[in-house]
Amino acid sequence: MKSLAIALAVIFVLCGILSIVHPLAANEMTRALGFSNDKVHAKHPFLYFVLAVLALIWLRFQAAAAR
Amino acid sequence: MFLAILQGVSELFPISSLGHTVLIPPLLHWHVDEGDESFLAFVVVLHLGTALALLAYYRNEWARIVRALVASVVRGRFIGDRDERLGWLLVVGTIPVGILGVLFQSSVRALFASPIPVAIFLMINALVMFAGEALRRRQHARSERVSKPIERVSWLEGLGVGAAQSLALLPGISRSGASIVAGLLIDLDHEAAATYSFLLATPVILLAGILEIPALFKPGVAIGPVEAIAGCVVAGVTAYASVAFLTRYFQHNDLRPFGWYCLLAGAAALIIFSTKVFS
Repeated sequence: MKSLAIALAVIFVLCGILSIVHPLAANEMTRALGFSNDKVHAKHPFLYFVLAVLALIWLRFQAAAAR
Repeated sequence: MFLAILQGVSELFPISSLGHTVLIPPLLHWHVDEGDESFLAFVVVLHLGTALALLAYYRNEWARIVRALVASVVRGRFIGDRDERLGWLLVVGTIPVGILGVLFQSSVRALFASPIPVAIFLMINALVMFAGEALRRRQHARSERVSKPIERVSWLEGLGVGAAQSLALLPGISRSGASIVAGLLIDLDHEAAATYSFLLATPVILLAGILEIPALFKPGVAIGPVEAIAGCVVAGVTAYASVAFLTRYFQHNDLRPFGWYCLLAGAAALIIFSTKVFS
């Protein structure tokens, strides 16, 4: 479960970065995920970074439980 | 001012604020462009007013919850404290609506934010409330099930109540209505379900408002500081009065009056707008 928490945190950070640089061509999917290059949106990076922080908190709880 | 009062009341009453924002301007023949930068900025201000009212009403609960959450993260383990558990339940419950809201809110609004779909969803909102009340009465009549306090809600149930909030992405479905019904179905009583619903709504409304603050500073926004502050205060005062009323109301009453209102308002709107469409 620790590795899942780390993987989730890394994925969400990467998604957050992608949604800031938004490099992908615009279509319904990339727009919904915040990766499309037609619009700058503050909500998507915020969501991804919050989810990354939650994944790290989950990791901390697991690490403390294992000690 | 009318919009501020409407927002303050309808955001917390289980009657769908978004649905009313879509239905009332065309009913009163107001020419409101809901995509206009000034209108969107004003809506942001109203949301901030509502969220501040909720924070003010539940200030003691939030102070305890935030302290318990911070202590929990620092410690790295749960101690089973009531405020800690409630705090994490609110975090877990906010995740589904946060994800679905950010990913799909614009697409869903673009599809459904017009009077006829909203009128239909308002009637569905009524049916959800009637069905929720009926199911709860049946559950409690057949067995010895008793209501439980919020802190005995399981993580999965907390996630479910949070996910129910996501139905409010559909204009016409009420956030508080959906989450109160979900709360009733997991054996909270009406007062606890309403309190949990309002606590759950606070971070969502506050964050939605904060993340839209840049809309206030876009070029072409014609809202002065006096209008913004007045709108925020009026929405806040109305929301505070609404939450104070509703928490007392749900001590002894249920969702059915709101269900009847939504059913009648939705049916009337459907008839009015359908005849306009076909005439």
